[in-house]
Amino acid sequence: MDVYEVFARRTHDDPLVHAGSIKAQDLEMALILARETHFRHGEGAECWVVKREDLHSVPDPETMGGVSDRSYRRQDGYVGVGAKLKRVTEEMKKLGKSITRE
Amino acid sequence: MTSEERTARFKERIDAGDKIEATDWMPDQYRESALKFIEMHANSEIMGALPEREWIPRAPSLRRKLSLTAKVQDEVGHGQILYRIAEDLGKSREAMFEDLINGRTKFHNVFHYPTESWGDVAVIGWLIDGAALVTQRALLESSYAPYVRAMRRICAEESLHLRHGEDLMLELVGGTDAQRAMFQDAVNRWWRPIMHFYGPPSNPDKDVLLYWGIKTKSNEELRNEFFDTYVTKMWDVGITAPDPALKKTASGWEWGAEGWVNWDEFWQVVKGNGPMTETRLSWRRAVWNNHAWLRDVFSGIPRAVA
Amino acid sequence: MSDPRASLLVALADDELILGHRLSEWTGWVPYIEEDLALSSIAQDEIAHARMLLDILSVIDGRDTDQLALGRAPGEFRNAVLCELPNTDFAFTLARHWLYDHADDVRLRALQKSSFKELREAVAIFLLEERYHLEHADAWFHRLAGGPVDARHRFADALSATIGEAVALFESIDDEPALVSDGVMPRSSEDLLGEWLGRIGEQLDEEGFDQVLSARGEPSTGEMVPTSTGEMEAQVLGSVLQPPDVKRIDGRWVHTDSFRGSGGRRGNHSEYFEPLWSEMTALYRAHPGAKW
Repeated sequence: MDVYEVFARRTHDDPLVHAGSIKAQDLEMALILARETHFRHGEGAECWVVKREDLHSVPDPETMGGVSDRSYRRQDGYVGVGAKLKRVTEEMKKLGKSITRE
Repeated sequence: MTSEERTARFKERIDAGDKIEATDWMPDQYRESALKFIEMHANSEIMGALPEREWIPRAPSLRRKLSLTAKVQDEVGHGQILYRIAEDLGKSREAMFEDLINGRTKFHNVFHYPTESWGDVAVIGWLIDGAALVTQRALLESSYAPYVRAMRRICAEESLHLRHGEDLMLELVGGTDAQRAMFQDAVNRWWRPIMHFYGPPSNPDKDVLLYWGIKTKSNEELRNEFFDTYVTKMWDVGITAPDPALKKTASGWEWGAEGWVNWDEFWQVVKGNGPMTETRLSWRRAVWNNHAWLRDVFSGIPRAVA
Repeated sequence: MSDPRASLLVALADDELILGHRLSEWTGWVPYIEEDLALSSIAQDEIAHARMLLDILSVIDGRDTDQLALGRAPGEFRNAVLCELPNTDFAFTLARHWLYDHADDVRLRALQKSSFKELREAVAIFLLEERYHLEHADAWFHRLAGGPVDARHRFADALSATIGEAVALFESIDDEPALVSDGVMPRSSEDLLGEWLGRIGEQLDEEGFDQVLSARGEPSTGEMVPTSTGEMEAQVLGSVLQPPDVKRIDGRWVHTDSFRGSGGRRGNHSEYFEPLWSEMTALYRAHPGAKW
């Protein structure tokens, strides 16, 4: 008997998420059983099973995305841009440089 | 069920808003159109990396050196996502790459042009990424589900790129006279390729991609959205567009002064005769050909048998 | 009387900045997309580390971080020549990456015990990110060492071409005696060199690459290299610094002689530095005081 991890997508719009696991003798049984263990309430557009031993986790997950300052590649690095836009727009208006063509 | 009946049933599903997965049956025309469209999108992401990466070594601050590297990295990453999806439609990544570098398949016109200054980096990061984001948001409604999921991730990253591009633009526009002039000069040089980006006025009724729901908006709709979002902002900060006809009216936007638009240039570029097309493709060919040994590492050595 | 800690910071920062600059030149070109993404993150790490080190230096020096990175004259840079060499091809890049990241690991581990608090704290962060660099470098080392004949040959050649300059990573830095006696550098460069040689020597032997350390590196003819503008040039790499003697004693590689010439740690750079510096700093220097 092997443990199979079960992944599913609720609708086509959703990402694949981990739904749980089951024990089964082989792949065929895993496929047959996964549906009724995890999706008998009609909760899935797709369902996948993977033998747990075939899942490998990447080492040092706590350093993924970097440990030093990575704000330059995240939204939080650009929090002030809206205010900057406002300031520059007002400056240009004052200098008579704004344009309208209607 | 005959092939015609299956195809008709398939079209009904699409029109009803159903999504198609890689493992579903598809009419040949759907598969081939989707593959070609996604392949060109992937090609554009990695060819788009080339004009921008020229400025990584020259970035005028460490923060921008980092952010520009990260941005170009993301474009390559988008290529990775899209080539993988295209592969699942039935063409290997190696075949797609060989077709691209040998001029047999296409990539977006804007990436056939040279860059000349940091102003170009700001224009690419703000206006061209903006133009691309308008297209990519529309693709979130595509009928092909794997493409929709890819677009979610790509749009999220592009939104970040856009804020970055806007930040670059604002520093130039609000900076020294030389910086302001640098940005305006770049806009003057890039405006026509940006107008060409959405393609010439097309007949929506003849558009195969619209028919199958792979694309959901027409070229004109997308271009108008671009004008709505970006031209007003540009004018607010006192930057002009070189199109003499560009004007906002009650019924939408007027643009494309007679003689200014030059669709001949567009068709030349599409055929592969852009100013930087052959140069960039030849560089890619050189790197690719010089690293056949690296590809051999991946294909592995067959295990010896006694 | 200048602060000797500035000499250490500038050597470390310049190694990371110049190498990071070279690595970032590959972004968009690597002939294997997933590897392009990995190498680009490694490049960003190096540049980010340089930035953190220059932030610390700017407190001592008075110039701000960008002034230090992009406003200094070429003669003020103290990176090892290894870092400024052009990328040549991917085998060269991976060979340099392997040699450099093991050297960096050896020196960072030593600096964990530095008496210089701000440096110690930065080093703790660097080590967390360098872990991935080492895994990546070692994975490629073994894949190429055990790969098809052509790949193995190219990699061995690349290691031979870079080992001489890699040894010079451990040339003593300016003000080293003061730094060692103050505990800012808990161990001398020579001491670190011994540890690094032992470590890489063992791995080279295991993969049957012992000729890399025993033969003189020949000037390598570089293949197509994508520069910043994408121009393709063939590069012929000569060796600026004569590799100092390394010998096998009791089965271990050790450094047996002093450095015969002076290299990057004395501010003497190869012919490749000036074009790199010019390209890296031209825009910054053309607009003094501008914000970007």
